[in-house]
Amino acid sequence: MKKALSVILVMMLAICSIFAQSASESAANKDQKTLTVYAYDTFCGDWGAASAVIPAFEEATGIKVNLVSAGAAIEVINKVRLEGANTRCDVILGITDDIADKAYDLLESYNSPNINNIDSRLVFDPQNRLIPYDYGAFAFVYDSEAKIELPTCLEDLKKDIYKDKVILIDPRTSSVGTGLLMWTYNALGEGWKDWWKTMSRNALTTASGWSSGYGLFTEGEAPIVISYTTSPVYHVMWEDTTRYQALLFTDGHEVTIEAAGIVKGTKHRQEAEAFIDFLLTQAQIDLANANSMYPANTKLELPPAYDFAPVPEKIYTGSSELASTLVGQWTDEIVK
Amino acid sequence: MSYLECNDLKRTHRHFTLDLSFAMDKGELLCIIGPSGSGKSTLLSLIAGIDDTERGSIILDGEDITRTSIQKRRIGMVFQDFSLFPTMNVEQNIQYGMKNKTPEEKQKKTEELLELVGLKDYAKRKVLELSGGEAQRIALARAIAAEPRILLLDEPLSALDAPLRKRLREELRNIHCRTGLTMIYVTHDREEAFAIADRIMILRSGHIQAIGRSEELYNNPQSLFVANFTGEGSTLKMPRNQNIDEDSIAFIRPEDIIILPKGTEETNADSISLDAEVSGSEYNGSFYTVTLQTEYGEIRATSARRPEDDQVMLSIPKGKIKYLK
Amino acid sequence: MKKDDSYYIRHALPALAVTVIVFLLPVASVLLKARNIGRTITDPYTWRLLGFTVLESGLSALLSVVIALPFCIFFSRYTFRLRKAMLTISDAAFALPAILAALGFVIYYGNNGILNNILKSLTNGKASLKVLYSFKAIILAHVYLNFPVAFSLITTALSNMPDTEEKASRLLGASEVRTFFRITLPKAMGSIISAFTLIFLFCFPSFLIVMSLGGNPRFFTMEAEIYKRTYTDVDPSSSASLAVFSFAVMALLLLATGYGREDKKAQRARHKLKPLAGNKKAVAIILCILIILFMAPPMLSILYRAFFNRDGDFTLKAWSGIINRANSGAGTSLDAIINSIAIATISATVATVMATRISMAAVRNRLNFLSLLSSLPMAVGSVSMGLGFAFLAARIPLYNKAVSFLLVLLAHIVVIMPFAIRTILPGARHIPVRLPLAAKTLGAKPNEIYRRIEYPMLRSYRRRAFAFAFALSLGEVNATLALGEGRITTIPVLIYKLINQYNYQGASALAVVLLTIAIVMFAIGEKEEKQ
Repeated sequence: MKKALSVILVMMLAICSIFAQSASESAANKDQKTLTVYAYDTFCGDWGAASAVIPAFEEATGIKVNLVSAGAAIEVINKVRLEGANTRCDVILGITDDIADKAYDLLESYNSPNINNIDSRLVFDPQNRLIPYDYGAFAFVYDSEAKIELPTCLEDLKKDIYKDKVILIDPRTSSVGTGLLMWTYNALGEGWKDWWKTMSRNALTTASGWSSGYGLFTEGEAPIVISYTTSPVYHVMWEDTTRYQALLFTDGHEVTIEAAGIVKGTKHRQEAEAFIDFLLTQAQIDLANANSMYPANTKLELPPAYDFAPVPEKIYTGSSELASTLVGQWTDEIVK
Repeated sequence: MSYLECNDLKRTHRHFTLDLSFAMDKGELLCIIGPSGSGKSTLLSLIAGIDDTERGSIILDGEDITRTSIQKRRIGMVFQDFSLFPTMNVEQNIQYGMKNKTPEEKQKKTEELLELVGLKDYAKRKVLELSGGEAQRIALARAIAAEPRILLLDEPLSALDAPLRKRLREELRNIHCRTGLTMIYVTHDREEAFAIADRIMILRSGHIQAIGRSEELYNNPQSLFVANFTGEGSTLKMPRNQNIDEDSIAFIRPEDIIILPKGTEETNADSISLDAEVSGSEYNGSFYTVTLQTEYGEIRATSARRPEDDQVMLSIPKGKIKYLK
Repeated sequence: MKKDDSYYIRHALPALAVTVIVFLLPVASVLLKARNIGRTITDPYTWRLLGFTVLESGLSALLSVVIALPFCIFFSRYTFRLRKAMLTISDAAFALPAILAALGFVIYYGNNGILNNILKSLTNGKASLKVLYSFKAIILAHVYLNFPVAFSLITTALSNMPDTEEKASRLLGASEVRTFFRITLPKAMGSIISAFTLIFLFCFPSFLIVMSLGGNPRFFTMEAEIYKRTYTDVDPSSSASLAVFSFAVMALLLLATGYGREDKKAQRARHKLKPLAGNKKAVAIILCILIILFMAPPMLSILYRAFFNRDGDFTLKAWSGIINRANSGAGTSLDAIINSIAIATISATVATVMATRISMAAVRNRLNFLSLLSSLPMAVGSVSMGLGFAFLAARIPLYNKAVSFLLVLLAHIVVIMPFAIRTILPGARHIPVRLPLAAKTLGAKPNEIYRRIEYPMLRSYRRRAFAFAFALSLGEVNATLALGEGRITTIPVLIYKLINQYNYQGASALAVVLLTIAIVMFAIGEKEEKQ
């Protein structure tokens, strides 16, 4: 009995301490201007970009941000849709270009003056409902100690010399895989089918997600892996090595663009605009660093570690319809 | 009024129905015997409250306990498998059912009970370290400790070996005498029942065949079943009278038969004589059990001596022949 | 049934209510979205997926059980110094998150892994073993992760059965082999089927290992397809349909193996473990070596990676990285460790208590379906469960860390409950029915009987259930991510985050922390009961 009591006591204490903690969190000044932002979980998480960006914004503008983590990007959209007219959400962020069309009807246009500083190829929504703030490019990363002949284009990877030397990521279960699929489609046209058919034999494995695929790569299972152009930056920063480098292909590169938008019917339009403008200016470097992306604003100087993240000249963008159609066709062609 | 009254109890199981009434006095030790499946354990379950009766009532000390929960009946029970609580030591087991007592009183009572069952220094022993006999004594002490109004013992000795059984049943009778507890004792061992019972109840397929003092049941069985169940005996298809034909069967205890040499003149008019042939004899230590063939069938008799001749004559007192159905 | 037998069912009600509500809400939210189940069932692709999934999980479960069986028999007969250590080592693998198991496998079995490097250096680079990127790699990894389940469940069951029949069989002149097949195997069947089912259910939703170590895009499971439809196709109704179909298949399996499997009447005597003698000592040594050779390397590989970088140089960078984060304010490793231990302790405690209640009700009130009902969460794959929880989270105003924390706890409890029940139920069946009766005749109330007799008698079972539940909760990541909203960082969540930040070494270091906690827990769980 004593044991049971002490267990209950410990649990009560634990729960109380959490409530106390959160109560102090929510005890904000009533008169203060506030803004509610919905974002995907890794942004909000303790190590996400939010921990740098949000306090800086609050400091700079005096606006209190109520940040709500809503799961994956697609779930952020779903949450706003579910809440309908009652939503407290003013701004959503972290919506990538390939799912943008799911969000358009929930958003208001905002023709920010800062859009002029953004690489025009990234502005995927002419109505400026979703405003790009950073982007990343898919690329093959190689191990410079493996002493392989470097491929220069997607077609090169089909060669026999790369048998079991490449780790791919499955388009069905990973956005990196889907990105690669759209890349092959945009760069090779109908040739994408043949490319994947050959590669499903030539590649060492098709991992379920980026984390397992890249893990195999760094354990030396194969010298080439599909990842991002920015991947080497981490190895420079974390391990102080330039062993891993990104390959720029002559085909050009598929990009993924992250954007933010103002929710229709917001009562804090002014604060929302201030937030978006902040994202497009002062927050750019923090965002790029935390998200491992390139800043959308071209007027900025990149940190030195980005020297190891070559910026592709030619870029492709995709859409969710394309992704879904292609994954369906890919399944029919490759595994059925 | 009797101390325990079971009126018109009924309980149906898949293959048999228990249906009976009986009563017993305070301080009495009643033995229930009967073949397996006769309803002995069912009856105990009903009295203890483990099982519910479908009909009838159980009155204990003037109180109707038919619908009383097990816990409130204050009926003790000792199980065949001892059912000691393995997570507690001897002392804790014994004190488990004690009510309204200070720790000192509990301590004292425990010592008394341990002495009663002859296991004085066992208080701190672990239950799993006890032998079968010790475990059963502790189970008994535990049941008595709860100060039951009646104690039910469900074949308490059947898991033990024969010499221990004999010793323990004597102790049990002793404890019964010393505590004056009303007890119902279920066994399938006739000898055990005779040894300790005040009265014996014989059960068969859920019905009482007979109830009474052991001597009564042995000497004057009301049915063939009771006769067979209370002791050895031979059944003969022997007509009662030369002329009257009845389909009852003659039952004779082996000790009532006298074996004489063939051709001995029968002098006693109260006895009948039969010619018989010896077909086997067993030595049982103090006497012989002789198997004999007669014109009415096989008969078994006890004799102090082994018959010298195969052809013998049997003399049976007429009063000792029971004509039963 | 006597009136106060309702005590057990009454006290199991809160536990059942929590299970049913926390389990049914996400499932119902998935179910409500399922529109075209008919099309899912008639689609040959569904059946092909099912075929492969059943093949890989069936084979994995079968092999795990078959491999574990000889070990179980030996370990249930003899006692020796390393017995407990072996059980603990094998159990620890159970707490490994899939990503780390895969990583550990790659470090050890990989083409460039430790095993192959040893082979190459021994044979001057000639011999190498291609283990990974094939179907057999999937099975190997699954057997590795689930061997402890079979080992632990069957060993416990066999240890609790008297071996008098075996002795009788040997006395009647049957050989040891014949005795095994005719006597021991049928006796152990209940626990074997139980272990098989559990492992099957654990392997059924696996896809990280299947896809990454399988090396062929054709190796694709139902759960992966559900994931694809949810996150790649963004087609909730079609993913929900498949989730419902998959749930139905697993629930059917549970039903088929759950009924009529009730263990034979529990025997009173539990046989004593014999000390080793003669050639049995050699057998013990061989078995221990086999276990160490099979179970330890992938875990040791993770330990190795936590201290050595990929060039083979010793470094404490990963550790200092973990420790230094403690100074950076938010989301420290220490927070994650504390969160993990707190969540695992609370949820395992609650789950063990609830499982004890449910098991007792199932046994005393002869309600076999209760254990089955609370096993149902196992029939829902982690993706579907995460899907349901995410959908649920969108409905609940989760603006509060405390609410998130509570929801994470509830989700953990429901996820680990089936395991706790499967561990405790055999123990509940082993309590002789007469004991509570004896207590009742002594005037004990049901509550007192439960507290003073039945609960203590289940101690060793509860301890083991707690250890497994704790380990399961420690490794849980899907529900934590879905309901924790990124605000509740546990060790595995942090491991995923570290990996996403290219910090595999830091992830390995944290995994060592996780494994250490799990091993300590299992060491307590495997503690021998003093007679």
